[in-house]
Amino acid sequence: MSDQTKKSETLPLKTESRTESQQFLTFSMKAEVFGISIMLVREIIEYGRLTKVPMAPDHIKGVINLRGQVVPVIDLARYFGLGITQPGKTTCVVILEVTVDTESEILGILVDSVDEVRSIPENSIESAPGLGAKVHPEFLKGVGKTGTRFILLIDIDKALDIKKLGKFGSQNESAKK
Amino acid sequence: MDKTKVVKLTAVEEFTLGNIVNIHETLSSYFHKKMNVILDFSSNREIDTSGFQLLLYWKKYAAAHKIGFRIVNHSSALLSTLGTFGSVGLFGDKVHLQPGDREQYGLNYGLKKEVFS
Amino acid sequence: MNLDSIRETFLVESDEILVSIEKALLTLEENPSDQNEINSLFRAVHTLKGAAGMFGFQKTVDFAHHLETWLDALRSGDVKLDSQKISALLHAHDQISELVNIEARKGENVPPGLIQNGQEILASLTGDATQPERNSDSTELEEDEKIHGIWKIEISLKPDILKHGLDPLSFIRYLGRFGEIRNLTVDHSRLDLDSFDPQLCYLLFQIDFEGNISKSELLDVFDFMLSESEIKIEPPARIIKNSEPETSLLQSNTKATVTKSTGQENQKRFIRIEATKLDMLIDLVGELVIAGATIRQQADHHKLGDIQESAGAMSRLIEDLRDNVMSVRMVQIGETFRKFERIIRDASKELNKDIQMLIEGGDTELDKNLIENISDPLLHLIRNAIDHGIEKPEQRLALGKDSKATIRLNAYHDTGSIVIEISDDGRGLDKEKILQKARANQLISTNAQLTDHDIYQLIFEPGLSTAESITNISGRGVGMDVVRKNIENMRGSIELETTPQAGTTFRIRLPLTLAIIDGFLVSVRSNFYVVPLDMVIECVELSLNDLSGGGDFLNLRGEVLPFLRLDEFFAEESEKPEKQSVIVVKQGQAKAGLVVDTLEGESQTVIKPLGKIFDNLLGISGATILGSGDVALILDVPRLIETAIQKKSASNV
Repeated sequence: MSDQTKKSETLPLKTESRTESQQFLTFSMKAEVFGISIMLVREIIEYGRLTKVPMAPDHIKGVINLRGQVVPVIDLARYFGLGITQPGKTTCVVILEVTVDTESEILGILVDSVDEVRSIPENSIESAPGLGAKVHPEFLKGVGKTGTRFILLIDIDKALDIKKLGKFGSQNESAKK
Repeated sequence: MDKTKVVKLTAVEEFTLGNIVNIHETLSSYFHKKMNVILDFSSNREIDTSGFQLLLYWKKYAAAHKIGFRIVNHSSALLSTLGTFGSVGLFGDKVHLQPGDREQYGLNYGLKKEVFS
Repeated sequence: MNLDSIRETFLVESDEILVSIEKALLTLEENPSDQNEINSLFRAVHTLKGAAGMFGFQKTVDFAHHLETWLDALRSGDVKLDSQKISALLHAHDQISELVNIEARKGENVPPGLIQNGQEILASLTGDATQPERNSDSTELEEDEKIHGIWKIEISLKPDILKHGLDPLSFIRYLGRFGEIRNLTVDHSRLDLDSFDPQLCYLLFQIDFEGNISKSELLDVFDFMLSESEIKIEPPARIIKNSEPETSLLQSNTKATVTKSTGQENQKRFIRIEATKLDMLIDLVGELVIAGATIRQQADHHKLGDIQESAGAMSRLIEDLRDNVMSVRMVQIGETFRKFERIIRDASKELNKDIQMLIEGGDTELDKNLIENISDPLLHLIRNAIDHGIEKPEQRLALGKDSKATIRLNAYHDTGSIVIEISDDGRGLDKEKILQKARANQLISTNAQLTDHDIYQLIFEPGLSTAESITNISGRGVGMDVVRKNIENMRGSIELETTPQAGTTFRIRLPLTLAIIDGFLVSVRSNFYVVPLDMVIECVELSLNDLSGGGDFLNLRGEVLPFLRLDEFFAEESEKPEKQSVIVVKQGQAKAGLVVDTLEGESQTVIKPLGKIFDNLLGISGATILGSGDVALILDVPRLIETAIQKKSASNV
């Protein structure tokens, strides 16, 4: 199934018979609705005390204490170039488990609010549009349609590539000047 | 332990072979009446192997007959003898140690509480 | 612990001994009159015999015994070593190895052929088919022979002894003057409750006595009692390791004293533990340290006097517990060092170089996990030294050096860290060649002005190998950068000193342990940071009067101290507090100051990894969780200052 979804960018809707659907946790960042495969979500916690990590890239908001474990929190909206997330009443941290070089790493992403878990059939996922979207298509697996809404499905491997996330982004460098 | 049947005795200065028969008879008279015995060693100055063996005998006897037999106010002679024979634990009495006593009396072994079998 | 693990203990020990026997023989091959090696060979065989005896591996004991007899003759100069004897001894080594393998590892009976083989080896040693006193039961103890170890003395008193005016108590006290009574058990089984005469003696004593004494001397102690008691004396089954070689003589009565009780003693001394269990224990202790700190802080916060006191007491216990648990993980580095001996021997043969290895500080202890991780980097540095550092013998002679080169491994403790040094007396690093390479690989710009120190540090950069010829020992261009990375991953650092034609020393500095450090907690605005305590020299209040040099330096009692304002460096935007403090930290040989808002005091810190995402983050080495639940970041002070200097020089350009 994962193979198939990975290829969905290049093979949209070719096989009518496939009506399997995947579950996505949907949430909003900067007025856009995003979805992330529920398989990767470990838990959702309220945004609370966070420790800033100096000298880290701007999209790394800081670290939190998750029951004795120190977990980095990413401002994905900032990383996507949508602007800095301002913590509010509904702000949450979605804790994800991602795999890096066969080892799993825990990290959190900051979201404005968590929506719900939705099933999105394979055949209603379209490849991300190259133009016109606010988010770079590289970070997306595709766009899911439910009713009238579009859900930007995040490609974890690309959007949360630990090695890239750890590097000082160009925005960061330019911000310094 | 029945509190009404407790006697507190004081050990003589020389708890040694010369007095051992007398001491034994005194202790026997109380133990055979099933009295619980508290033996105060504060005025004791000397105790030899026979004295040690006598205490050991009554400890064993008391345990077998479920009679209380407690030694209190250990003199340094008694501590030193118990230390050498590694029997502090075997006797099982509370010993108040001052700093340095451990070295002085060589209390390096036989400190673990044991039960007479 | 079951029988298998006892056997395992023996196997581990015998393997070590066999390695040391082989090592001694290899040295003796070069220098047959090296008395130290002869002594250590003798002791190794002797120890092995004792250990085998304790476990009842009789054939191993027999062979070792005869070998030991011959070695003793060698030791006292009655026989001499030649190449033929050395190879016979090497065969003897193999023979022991095989005997241990069969008797201890497999638990099988030794086939007669192997015993025959052993006799032939011994015959070739003695140069005589009939061997001296070849009765394996003839290991009777000499009465006058002093042996250091635990003697077992059993005294059975005759009933009339007291009446005859003898007090056993005084004899036992007298015995205490010759050594130490380790244990004494009073056997009162003959003390019958129903028939007791207080003037008769019913007691038996079992005494474990440790001392350097002979059997006849012991009997002398009880001289007057001999007629009134039965005394049995068992000599030590095994010689205490640290005894003086000249007194820890020869034979011990291994045959008779192979008893279960000695086996149990050994059980008490060593327990082999699965490493993962130990790691789990250490993790838990780490959590306990945090939990303890929480309780203490809460008690302090709520000003609960009596609980504060108990919490304090508990914290001290937890500290002790931590230290104890950590010490269980500490392992001597000598074993790791010795592994390199063979590598040096083989590599120097292959390259036609003559190299000896010196080990110092082999008993320095460090964390087991560190040892495991340091082995590869060390190996790499040693191979580099053999390959690049050390010249061929003829080159050395031409330079007026000893043709035999030396590689020295040294380990020692230094203010909360372990230092490991690898030095060679080879040609040293070639500054020009490094510069050329670095320029060719565009590691530095062609006109960069670098200090010697900076140039030498370049060898730790990726893709810089200065070897002209690539051998299979080293020089594939991967290496030094990996070495540095490995060491840095252990929160360590590496530096080097080199003198042309005189040699190179690599100095690796590692923390004592990976899991917990003592730290000094500070805050900068709302963030907490931990400075490793061993870096901290002192703390002072920042006063504007002390600022000099346009605010770049601090006047610390007349000393000029460069300092870094953490708030500015960390780009804190909120307003500075009125008062700030300076932590004076060590920076190599120099000092530097870190300006912080508040000093929170010392705290024990369990290091939590920060996650891969922060791999590129310099200056912060990890995190820790405070009693309050807040996360504090652990500062990597040397790296932090380095980064600050780089940033500053970059902004000045």
